[in-house]
Amino acid sequence: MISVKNVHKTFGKNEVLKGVDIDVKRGEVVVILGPSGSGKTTLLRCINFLEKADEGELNIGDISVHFRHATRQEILRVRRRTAMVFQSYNLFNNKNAIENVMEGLVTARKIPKGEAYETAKKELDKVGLSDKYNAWPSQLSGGQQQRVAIARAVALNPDVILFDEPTSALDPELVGEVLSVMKSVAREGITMLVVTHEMSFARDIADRVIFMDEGAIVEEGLPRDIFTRPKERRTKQFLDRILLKDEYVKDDYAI
Amino acid sequence: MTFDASYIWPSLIAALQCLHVTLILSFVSFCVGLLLGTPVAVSRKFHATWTSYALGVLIPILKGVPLVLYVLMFNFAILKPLDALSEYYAWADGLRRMDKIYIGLVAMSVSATVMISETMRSALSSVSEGQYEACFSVGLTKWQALRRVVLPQAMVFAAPVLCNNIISLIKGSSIVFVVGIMDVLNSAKTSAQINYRFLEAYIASALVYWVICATVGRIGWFLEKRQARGVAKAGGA
Ligand SMILES: Nc1ncnc2c1ncn2[C@@H]1O[C@H](COP(=O)(O)OP(=O)(O)O)[C@@H](O)[C@H]1O
Ligand SMILES: [Mg+2]
Repeated sequence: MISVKNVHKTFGKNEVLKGVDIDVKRGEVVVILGPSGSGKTTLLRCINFLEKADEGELNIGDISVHFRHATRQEILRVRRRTAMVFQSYNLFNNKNAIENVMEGLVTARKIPKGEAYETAKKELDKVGLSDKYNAWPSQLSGGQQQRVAIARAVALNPDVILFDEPTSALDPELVGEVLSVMKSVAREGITMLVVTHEMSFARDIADRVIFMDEGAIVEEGLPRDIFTRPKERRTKQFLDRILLKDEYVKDDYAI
Repeated sequence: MTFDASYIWPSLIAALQCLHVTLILSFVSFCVGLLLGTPVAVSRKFHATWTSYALGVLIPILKGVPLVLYVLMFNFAILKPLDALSEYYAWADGLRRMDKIYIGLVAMSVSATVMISETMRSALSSVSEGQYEACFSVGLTKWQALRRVVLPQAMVFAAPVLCNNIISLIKGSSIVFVVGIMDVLNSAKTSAQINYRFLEAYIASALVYWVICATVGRIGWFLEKRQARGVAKAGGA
């Protein structure tokens, strides 16, 4: 469905991606874990051409492009097959909720306004925002904004949705609503590539977990295997740290 | 000669007779400035082609030239060739004798373009990178992103500054008297030449400028209020 091969990216002297290969099947939910600075964001941004990778290939559906030599037309085609959910939501500030969802449909895909409006309504209903069609981004909570952003991505019916730490900017009490929307998106059979630190999502929803460190994939496998018996020491250390923190959080709540 | 307020009235009437000249000079040049200055700002922001580099050199230079110099230079640059041509062509002679307002218009339009391109440039950089990225992620092209998302937001940031830009142009337009264009100030001044009541004439024209600027300021304030109820509300994130 979507695969990237041998992705390299260097910022100045900093080699951020050192030959990453990922293969995601249709309908698969793949979670990418890894410490901060390991290149997860950069990888997603390269897939969407928000960052130009130095080396590597991208296959998505029947499109096959080389990152370095992609033409403007090819980049546009790839972007119209993918969607992205950002850490900081990035809703269009000059558009209300429903216009945010409609924009890509109407302007990029040339879908008639009436039809786009119906689609947008349906998607906003699905993320539980039936009463917020006309709300401006500034009138929505972080969790609501991120749900609009997810509706915006799903409405495009893309081959894959890229999620970059979609809950990291949220207040703790708003994380749950976004995660549950993501779970229902996953249940719809939409292909997802998700960077997250939410271990519960990785454990319960992911079909596969990839652990990245220092710009390369360290190991990947079923969530069950990665969480219970990681092969690599680095994976184990990372998981210990993260799960320990989860434990602390739980303890905090208990008090 | 003491100050006599009763002389203000005839000067005021003379000033108002040329009100349209001041208004045309400032508003037409503002529109030209907005129409040309916005693409200049966009081009410089994306510095994609050689034109944007050229503009990057040119605009800061042009920015340092006072309006009065533009007026004098265009007066010279336009009239000199016409003088020569008018010996052979009737149309050149006609143009030469015509009201010089078009010279003022050209000069002020250049100055307005430079000024407004800077306004729009800073307004464009107030729109966060995330907005472009969101546009690209849903498949908009760069131009679609600009037209649909970035410029509408930039306009919200630019609006109060543009309002100040118009006011600068209105006040600045009074400089055209140096080449003999009959605007509000020049007309009031000329009316005083018969009685030497210059102070009263200056006060009369000051009143006219003050009323125009106050009106524009008021309209700007009103538009901002209206915007604040809609789009600008969203300008936070
Ligand atoms: N635009 C950029 N310019 C320079 N360095 C960058 C840029 N974006 C990311 N980096 C660097 O790339 C590395 C990986 O960053 P990132 O992909 O954001 O990691 P992660 O998302 O895993 O935390 C970091 O060292 C970061 O400083
Ligand atoms: Mg990141």
